[in-house]
Amino acid sequence: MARLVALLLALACVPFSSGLYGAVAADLRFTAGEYSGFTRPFLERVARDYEALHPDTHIQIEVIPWDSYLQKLTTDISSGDQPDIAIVPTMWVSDLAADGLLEPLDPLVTPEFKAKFIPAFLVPARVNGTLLGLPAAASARAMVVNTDLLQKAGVQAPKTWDDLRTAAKAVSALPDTYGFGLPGKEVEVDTYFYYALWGFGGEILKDGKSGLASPEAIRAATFYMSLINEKATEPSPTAHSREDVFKLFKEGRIGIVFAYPMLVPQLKAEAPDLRYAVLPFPVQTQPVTLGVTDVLTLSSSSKNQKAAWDFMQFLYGAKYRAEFDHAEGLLPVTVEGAADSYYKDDPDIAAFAAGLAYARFAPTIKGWSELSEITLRSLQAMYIGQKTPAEAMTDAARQIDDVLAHR
Amino acid sequence: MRRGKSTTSLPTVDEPHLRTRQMLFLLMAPSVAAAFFITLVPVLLLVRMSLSSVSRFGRIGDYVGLRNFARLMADPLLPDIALRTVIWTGSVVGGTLLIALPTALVLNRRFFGRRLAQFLVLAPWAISVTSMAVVWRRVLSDEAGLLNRLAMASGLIERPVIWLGSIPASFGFEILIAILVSVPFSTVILLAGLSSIPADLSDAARLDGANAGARLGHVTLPLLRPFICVVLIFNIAYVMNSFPIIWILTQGGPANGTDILVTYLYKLAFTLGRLDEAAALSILMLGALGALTVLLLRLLERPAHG
Amino acid sequence: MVKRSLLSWCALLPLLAFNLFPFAVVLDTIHRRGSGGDVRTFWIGMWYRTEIGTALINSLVIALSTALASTLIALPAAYVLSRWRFRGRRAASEALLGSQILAPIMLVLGLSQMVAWAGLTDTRLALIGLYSAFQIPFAIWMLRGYIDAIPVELEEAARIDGASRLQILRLIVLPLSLPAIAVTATFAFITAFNEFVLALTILRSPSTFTLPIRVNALTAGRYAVDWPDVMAAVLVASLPVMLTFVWLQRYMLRGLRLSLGST
Repeated sequence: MARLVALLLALACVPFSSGLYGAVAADLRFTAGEYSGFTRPFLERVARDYEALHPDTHIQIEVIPWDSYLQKLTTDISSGDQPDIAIVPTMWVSDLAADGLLEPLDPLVTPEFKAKFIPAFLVPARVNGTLLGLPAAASARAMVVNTDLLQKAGVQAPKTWDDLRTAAKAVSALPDTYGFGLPGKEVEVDTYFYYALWGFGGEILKDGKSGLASPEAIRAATFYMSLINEKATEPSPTAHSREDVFKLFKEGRIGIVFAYPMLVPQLKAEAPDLRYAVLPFPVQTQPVTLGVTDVLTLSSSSKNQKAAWDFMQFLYGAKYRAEFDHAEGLLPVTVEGAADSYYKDDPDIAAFAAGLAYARFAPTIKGWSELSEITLRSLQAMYIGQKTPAEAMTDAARQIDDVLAHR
Repeated sequence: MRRGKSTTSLPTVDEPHLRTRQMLFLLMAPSVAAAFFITLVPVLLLVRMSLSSVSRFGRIGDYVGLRNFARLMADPLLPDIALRTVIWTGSVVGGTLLIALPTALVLNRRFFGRRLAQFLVLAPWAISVTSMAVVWRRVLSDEAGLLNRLAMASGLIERPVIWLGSIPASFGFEILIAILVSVPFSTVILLAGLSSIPADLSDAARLDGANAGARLGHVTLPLLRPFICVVLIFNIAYVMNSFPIIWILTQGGPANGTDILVTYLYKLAFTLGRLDEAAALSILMLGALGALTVLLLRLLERPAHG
Repeated sequence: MVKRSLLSWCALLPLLAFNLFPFAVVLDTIHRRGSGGDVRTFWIGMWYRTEIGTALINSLVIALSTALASTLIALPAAYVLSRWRFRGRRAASEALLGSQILAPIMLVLGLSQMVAWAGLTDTRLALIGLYSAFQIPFAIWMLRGYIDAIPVELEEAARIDGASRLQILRLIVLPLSLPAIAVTATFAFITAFNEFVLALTILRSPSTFTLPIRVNALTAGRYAVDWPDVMAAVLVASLPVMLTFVWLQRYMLRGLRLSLGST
């Protein structure tokens, strides 16, 4: 059947086919999400360096916008065309593992190589005790404030969640500015809620059930809702994606945002005159932040596993790691990288890196993206006023429990 | 221009001649094979997926009968989304026709600069639906953008408006954009139809004392009916291709408030990872659209004057 | 005539305003770009930053190949449907129109598997094949209408002179159908040039990206979006079809009229 299809497709276009494709048998395919415009040229360069040392290996780099990455990986795998090596968000690992798509790395990793990594980062990539990926990118979130706006509004940078409300309201009172940037559209709408959820002492999952119906979660939701109702956020959060909010921040029109380290190089490039400070999240009982890791995985069906594994190790050359982390605004995953003075000298980066000590991670369970979508939907219904915080949270918790019960 | 009566008068055509049969086969084979491969094969693959348990990353597991269809039917979001799809299809197809028909009638008359006007009507067709959606997303979310500045300059609003702030506004804009995207093609088809109506028919009606409205209702529209059916069929098909408009503007949000079946299908498959249910939904949609098309084709067959 | 012209233009004005609005936004955004530099520097920089050149070439190669392949494959079938009487002919004609409802997005799960089995993921060839196949029913439908209008007497005369069917097809039908072929090919070109969902699923590497995918990649899932660049890319992406309109508008309408005349 497949050959017939190929024949048909080829026949349809015989006159144009020459030179369109020329695959070699010993190819390695390597896919990664696009962190920035730097990602692809960098990975291409590493691949070419490697090929120079190993002329028999050819590495095809595919850098895919995060937006469509999951879809591409799904179509690849469902058609039996899984990439040999892939950098994926940790939250996909459980699902990939459930289908037996990832090669366990324990037999391959030598103790010396394993010692390269900060031990905490090896934890999220383990499923049932089996190591299925190497930490490829790490990041922690922090609060970024526009110091000029806070000063103009006559408030201090917030230390607690109540401070945050006061400061946000004061900044919103200034003409044409908004206090707190709350994304309510597309990626990470749920993530922005987890910050408050954790801050108020709640949990995403507790004893295998959703923690969203807990009093802490409802208090966190009520807090965000009060910010919206008291006009302390930008108008219509559901019309603003994370990037829309950051754009307003760059224009100097938002006082406080929760952000990732990549925002810093963007601020320097796009808003060189903006005065800002990177600070920890507001604290209620104990400091919290979200840690995010992406992992480098090896396909269990790869025909060239040996070469693939060799190249994976090559990627952790100190020179490459440092260049990649610095350019993408990521935090170090290797012990050697963490010792780099770069993470202490630069106050912005240091502030983000400080969070790693107490960072929490999103749960690595199968079907996480569905739970995340349910949370997003309920939050949006609350933000546009369709549901009260209590309704939104209990509804979400019920649906999540349903999903959890199904597996 | 009507289907020629002489087409069947070729002497050998009706003969069950072996060589003619072979020739017929030879000439049709490439097209039939192509159509076969892009329709039947994927549909069969979808049927298999819809009857199996499929994992997050597309591994096909056990045969589960109609379980996926049952789960789909039990999905509390689906009734609203199906209803919204009907509203979407109706408004976009109807709106397109309501704009394209008068536009074609105007463009069918002679006036100064008609060629330029035609070009300007066609212009949005040159922008891909994706680009169009990207541009409009920018327009509707940029507080300092052209739309807000124009609206403020004309005194319609006092401060910049967040256009995608509510569900009805978002969905309304999406319908509007989908209509704008479909108008050029529909206008071209209707224009072709209008120009194939002999002028003397209309003249004869004028001599009989029919006014412009009556001529339109009794001469032009009945003769145009096949073309209107063609426009309807194509637009119903293209409404499915307007996926990027909703996906790029709102991703079906907030709170699934702008989801239609195709965006929900995409979410089911690629965000929620319920590929088996997505396949089941594809099958149901294909069935519904197929029925609708058959209905329209029957309409097309009926003689112009009942 | 003057009064009628004014009236006509006034009637079209609202639609034209809406139609031109996206172009105005594109030009306005490019005009308001924050970072300095003259127009030339901006365009050269944008061309380099967005890699729009590669995408333009890919889109042109794919769209032109699709136009050529789909029309060439459809032509003989259209001829058969127009001239032969056989059982199922009527059903075949209806199936042609009916098949338009098979939107790629509903079949994308199956299609991407097919492409992967054929080992053609991330190739322009795969898209040419799929686009051509999707375009064939429409092409047959258009061409058949046109061939219906070609007097059959011409062919009979050629037969009497001893021409074979293939010769008739090549020497009489083909030259006479050129206008319809041009129109059909143009439609295929536009459709292939602007297609999104299949390209999004099948293309992986920037070296194969088509224009819609490139434009999407400049905005979606990015941590920062450079809007003047995006808008300039949109403009570049719509120029080829726009030029086609300027060039072929008259023939398109005439060919379409003849093709649809027999509906």
